[in-house]
Amino acid sequence: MNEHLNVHLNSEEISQMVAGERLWPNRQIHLESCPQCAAELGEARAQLAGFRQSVRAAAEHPEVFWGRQRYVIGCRISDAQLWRHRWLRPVWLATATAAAAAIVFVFALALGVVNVHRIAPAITQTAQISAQSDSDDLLLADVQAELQRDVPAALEPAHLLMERVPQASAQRAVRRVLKVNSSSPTVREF
Amino acid sequence: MNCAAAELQLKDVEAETGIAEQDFDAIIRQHQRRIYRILMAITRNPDTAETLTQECFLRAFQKRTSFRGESSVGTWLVRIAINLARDQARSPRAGFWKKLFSPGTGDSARMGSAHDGAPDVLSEMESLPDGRSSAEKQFLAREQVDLMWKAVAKLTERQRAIFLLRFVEEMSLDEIATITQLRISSVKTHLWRATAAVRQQLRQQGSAA
Repeated sequence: MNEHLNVHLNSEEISQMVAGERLWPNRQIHLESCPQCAAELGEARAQLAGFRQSVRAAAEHPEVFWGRQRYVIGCRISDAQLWRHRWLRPVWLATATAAAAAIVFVFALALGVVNVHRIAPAITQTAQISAQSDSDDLLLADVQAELQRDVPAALEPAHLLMERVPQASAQRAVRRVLKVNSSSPTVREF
Repeated sequence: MNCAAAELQLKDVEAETGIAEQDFDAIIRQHQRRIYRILMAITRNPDTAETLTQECFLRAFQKRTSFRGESSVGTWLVRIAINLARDQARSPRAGFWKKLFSPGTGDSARMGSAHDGAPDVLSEMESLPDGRSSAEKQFLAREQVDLMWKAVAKLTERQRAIFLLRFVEEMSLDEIATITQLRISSVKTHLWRATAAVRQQLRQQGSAA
């Protein structure tokens, strides 16, 4: 027990004390009675205090610095919020997509990626479409004319037949009469 | 029955905990210096410390609704800052810059420029019972701080964080345990090892000088 009281603190025990841990009671008694150990512990603590002050001094800045930092943080938070809100809305998403597509198309045109010659067939196609619409008008006119006819085109031969059948029967009747009366002089004179 | 009702009410309060958006400016105002100081001590680079401080508060804002109030806001913010500093140190880009400006060349001088005007350092050193002159004491104090920085830089990532939280921020072991998500016994062990390593480094560097 007395031997422990006379032995100085070793480096590990000093480190323990600096770190805030407690020593065995007999070592504590030695520390309180030994100026050499107390000085060593004091020096270690002073080194740490110097280090602490150096860190704190290095992190010291005028109020302008902290104000600017708060402003930057506020801007970053606002940006993050705006971004989040915008992209959560489908309308914004659709608008942004359309705008992006338009920008890409304009840039592609400017850079010559989209060739004018590739656009030419599209123009021809448009002309074809307009020509087709003209022919549609003609067809409609034809249909209208067809509707206004007395007899449909498909029944035209039948109509002609109907017109000629009475004539033919009349001629046959005349011939029959002529045959019957060919023997009489009146008819002959006639 | 009453106990059950009180328990339910407590659970409701816990579920509702979180940081209101309008309180956030006050939180930044209150904690920005400490967060910056911790990040400055860990990264030893003012620009990185400033960027990570901004990132820390941005992350905190984004996660404010998930803050349950199990620890104080300050402790929560320090934990975010420590994690950010760890991630930053592990990134390949940070490794490149660290190699380029290795300890003892540029960054100790950077930090040293600030402690030139630290009167408390000198007063602490002047309290030592010896007969050296004031100028000599100032020089020794600066030397000691430089040596200490070099020694701290050689600690492992976790030991350095615990060492700085304990001796620079003077946090309790409970707080450090909450921040590092370690048991108090583990924190004590890391702290003791860090202290012993720093003292050994100081002795070696002191004898080499």
